[in-house]
Amino acid sequence: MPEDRRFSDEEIEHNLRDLGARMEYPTTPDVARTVRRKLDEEAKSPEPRRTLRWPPFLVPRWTAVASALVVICMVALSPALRTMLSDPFAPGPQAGSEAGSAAKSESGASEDRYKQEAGVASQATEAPAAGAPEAATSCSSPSIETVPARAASGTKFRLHGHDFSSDCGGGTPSSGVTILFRQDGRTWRLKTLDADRNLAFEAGLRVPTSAEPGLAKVQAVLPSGDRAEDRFVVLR
Amino acid sequence: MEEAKLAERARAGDTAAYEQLVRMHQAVAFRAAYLVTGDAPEAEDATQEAFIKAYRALERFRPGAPFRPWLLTIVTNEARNRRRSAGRRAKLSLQAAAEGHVVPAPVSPEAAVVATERREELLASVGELSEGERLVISYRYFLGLSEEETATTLGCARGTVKSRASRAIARLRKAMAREEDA
Repeated sequence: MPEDRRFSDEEIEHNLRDLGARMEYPTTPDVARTVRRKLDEEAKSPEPRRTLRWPPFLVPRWTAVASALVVICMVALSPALRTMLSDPFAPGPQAGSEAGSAAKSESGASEDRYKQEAGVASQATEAPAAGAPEAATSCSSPSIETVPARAASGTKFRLHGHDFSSDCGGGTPSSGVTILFRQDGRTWRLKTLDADRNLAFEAGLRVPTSAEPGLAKVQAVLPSGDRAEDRFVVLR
Repeated sequence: MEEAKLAERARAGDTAAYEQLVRMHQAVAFRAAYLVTGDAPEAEDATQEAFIKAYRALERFRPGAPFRPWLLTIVTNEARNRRRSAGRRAKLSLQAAAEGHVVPAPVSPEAAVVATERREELLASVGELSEGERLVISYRYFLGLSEEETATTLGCARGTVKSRASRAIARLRKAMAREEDA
């Protein structure tokens, strides 16, 4: 069957360009500042996030073989170690160790990264001691907490936010903070609110009725593009 | 300051230079991510994460090479991964645009209505294309990337971009003809 040539390639290309010119995209967020802040924080952190660099005498392959042999010997010789290592992924005191989080940061899995970033955000307000002089000159990251962190769809929960300033810790409360509920690529806009003079807020919210049981996250997005997030589990 | 110098300084660890570089490209990066995810917050996350990954990968960036396609490759991969993990929504960006973001041209009301309808139909037809074809069309005609930039960004050969565009245009032609006959 002959091809319908009522529309030439040029005409279709012209229409597509015309369409492209007329499309209105969402306003481009200013990610430049956020990206720089994150990179600066990362550089200040004592925990390196870049790829591990091995000294020349520690070739990873042979180090791994030697380590494996040592571990096998230890496990074989110690019943207590055998018991402890039988469930290596169980949460315990080692779960948040530097080695563990460094390994996670290299994994590239986006969910892991979300968890890690959320952790960094919440730690920023709780433990500035490691870099106290620097913390005084840098912005405090905003943080949020959902209470409870697990609830069924349609039920209420409370959201607490801290360190929401619009001028990098200068004391001006943020306004227009958008609260989003996100799950599996779906996004619900729950509320837009302002921080109080203590740079904090508290809001009563409801889990979207169409949210499905499983992992989700709540995000508080500032007009600048900065954000804080907390994990949330939607129960059956 | 020119892009190559900024990239060089950023590579040496100058985050201020990198911030400038990000600012130069954040609009096209966000749009590219939006065309893939069809969701503004997801596109924003993808853009932000892609810029951070790009910074960490600057050592692999060839000095003097164009920064934009290299960056858009990372943005597109990040956005694709996010959309895949969501498992759906491949056409949302175009549908959203069809629903109300197209600005009518300043002509007679009747002509404007017809033109808007045609654009919406064309947009819907683009949304019906396979992902590979849709991205080629979106990047070439909506973002205005060159054939070579599109090929680099999508990680395929220039010939592949050509053949996908050609196939996509043939499909769009059929769709337009069907609409005309209806």
